Amino acid sequence: MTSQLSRRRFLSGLGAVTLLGAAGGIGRGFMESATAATTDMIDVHGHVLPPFWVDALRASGGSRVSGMAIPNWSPRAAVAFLDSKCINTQVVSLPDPAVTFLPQLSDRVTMARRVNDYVATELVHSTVHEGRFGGFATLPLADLSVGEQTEAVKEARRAVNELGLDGVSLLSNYGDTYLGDLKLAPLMLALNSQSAVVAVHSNAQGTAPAMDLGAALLEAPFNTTRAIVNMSYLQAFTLYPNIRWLFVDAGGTLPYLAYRSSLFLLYPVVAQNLGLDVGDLDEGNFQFADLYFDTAWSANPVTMTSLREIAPDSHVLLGTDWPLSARSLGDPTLGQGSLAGIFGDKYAAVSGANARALLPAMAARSGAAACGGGSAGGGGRTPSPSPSVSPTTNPVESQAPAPTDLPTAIAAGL
Amino acid sequence: MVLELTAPFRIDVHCHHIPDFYRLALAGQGILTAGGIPIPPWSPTSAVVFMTEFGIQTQIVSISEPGVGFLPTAVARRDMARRVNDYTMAEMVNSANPLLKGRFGGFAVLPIGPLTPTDVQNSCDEATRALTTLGMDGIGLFSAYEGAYLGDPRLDPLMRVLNDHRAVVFVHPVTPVKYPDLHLPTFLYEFTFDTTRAAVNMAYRQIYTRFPNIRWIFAHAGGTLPYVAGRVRMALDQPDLVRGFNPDTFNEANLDFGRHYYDTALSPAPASMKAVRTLTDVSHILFATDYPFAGPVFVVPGDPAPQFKDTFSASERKSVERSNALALFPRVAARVGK
Repeated sequence: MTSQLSRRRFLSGLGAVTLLGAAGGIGRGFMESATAATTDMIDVHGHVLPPFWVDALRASGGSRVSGMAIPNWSPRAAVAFLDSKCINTQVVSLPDPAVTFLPQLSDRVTMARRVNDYVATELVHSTVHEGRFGGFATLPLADLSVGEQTEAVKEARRAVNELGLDGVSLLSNYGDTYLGDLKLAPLMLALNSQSAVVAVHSNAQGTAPAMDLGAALLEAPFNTTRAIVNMSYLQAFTLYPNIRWLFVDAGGTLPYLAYRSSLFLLYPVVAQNLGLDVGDLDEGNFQFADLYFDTAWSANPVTMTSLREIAPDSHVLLGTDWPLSARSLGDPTLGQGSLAGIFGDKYAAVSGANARALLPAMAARSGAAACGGGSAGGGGRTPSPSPSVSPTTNPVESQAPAPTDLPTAIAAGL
Repeated sequence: MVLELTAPFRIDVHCHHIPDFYRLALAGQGILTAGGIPIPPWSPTSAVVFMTEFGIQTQIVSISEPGVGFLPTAVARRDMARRVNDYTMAEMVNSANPLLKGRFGGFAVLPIGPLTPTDVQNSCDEATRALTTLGMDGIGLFSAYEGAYLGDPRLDPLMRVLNDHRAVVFVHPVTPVKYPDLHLPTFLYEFTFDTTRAAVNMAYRQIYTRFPNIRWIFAHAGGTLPYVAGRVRMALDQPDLVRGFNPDTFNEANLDFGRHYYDTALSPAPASMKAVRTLTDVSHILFATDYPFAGPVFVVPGDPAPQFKDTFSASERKSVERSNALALFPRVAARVGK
């Protein structure tokens, strides 16, 4: 299937029939994607699928990641994708089930370390792919026992402090335990003391009614929503105020439910009348504007209209979910083209500058896509890093790549 | 202080009635809560008082979770559905009591428990009776029946009846059969997920194009449907995401969720309303309160939805709060007099 066909599909359906007429944004956005090609682009939601991890997943009987068929992935394919979309840098994490499929804690610890080492050496600090990747660390989590969290804390510190990864990746839920659960206090305290950026990825797996609809369609965003609701009511946001939370897929559905899910804060008498013990609610836990959201699967005027009501544009970050999005919507740049039309003069912030501000070490490393701008060599450094970020203040700056083009062979060979 | 109340003009398309005999039947099965909260007091009089306080002329009432599915036999479900629908029309919609006259419309409840052929046939019969003999304003369906979602092929006979009658169908959520317990009432967010599941399941079962005369209203601004309306198209290119899905025979008009109607219950804030009006036309947005379950959020008599001003102009508010419903429900319009 060609991307042309899929793009037409999208326009003829969600776009042209309803969204375009109502919002006037999506068509214009696609036409502006030529402009997007010259914009500094950072993708904060990409995935890494190391071969050894895929092998282990398959050996355990697993056949899906994030509720979808396991896609092909390699560093070269990833770079080719980034180049094709003029994305300078992609921040990657494992998709679900992360390491939860491994039954032994020791195996989870080993796998998490191996994945993080791989991401650090083969991607983030690779000389071959210099500047093209950031990484959110995998933590050895599944049952959330105290012993396991002790290992997770160690790995979080190692990954960020020693490996130079950009933050940690957590799943929205581990079984029926959602982020915010009080049993996660040891890990949360450590992440808070690290002032970590925590990227929360939906777990498509959870307790849900049996349906013909695959979990990737709805249950994944529902789980992200539940995580945020749980964190609000169990006060995670005020208990751990130094953590910067980045939620995938525009927060699941939380922005749309921001009012409804806050009812007991807004109307304490309702909770009282219902005889509910929801504790002493702190409005600081319902300040969704403090959270960060990526645009994966959500770069359309309806979703963005809702998101922008609760989050400032500075907290909206481009995300593609590549390679899981590679088979859908044909063209993962859907996000870019649409977003350019939706965000207008804020598009540069959404597509790159916001990510640079949130992840300064990544910003300092960030290289350039070999693409666009009509340059014959297919390379060229991005012309517009965020002026608000000063690489010279960052200790990792010395690792920033020289402004050389990527080997043309890499781009051409894929 | 005397509050200045406007003459009631609003039409409330999502609100509930809880007749005493129905409440007793629930209690008889040990059911005292719905959506995770106690079933609140209700009477026609209290509803009229509420309407008067908040400028509502007419409430189009429906039965909330769990419908009549809690009753153990098909006969008991059939009889209870009939009794409720008879009550709705005789004691409320067509009441001779001057206090109640013109203040109510009604969606019929259907006798569905499990999706057995008997239940489905009884539901076809009751839907026909409600829409023709009784002259009700539409049909109330639930997102799922014992875990089987709208769109299930076993419901196709009912869909044909509803399509033949060009019915307005109001889709209300239920607590799903399985969900993770976060110690919060299910109405808070699980309800919204279940409405979304039903709407998307119907889309991939092509209900909207196979039965195009049915007008669908999705409760609570569609649950979360507008927010994920773009996302759920992913199965077009990953057909293995939907069991039994064949993209070659699929009519993509089913994914045009802008064709449906959305009520505003518990969703007046701009993060919901602005998204809905981006997905669909303002003419498809219908004012709703979710009374009496949501009664406690209506505190100061007067404007029941002051947040609307962030999304709608004054004239658009008139449409959302009145004329859109009158256009969709001609029998209501005839009763209240345009």
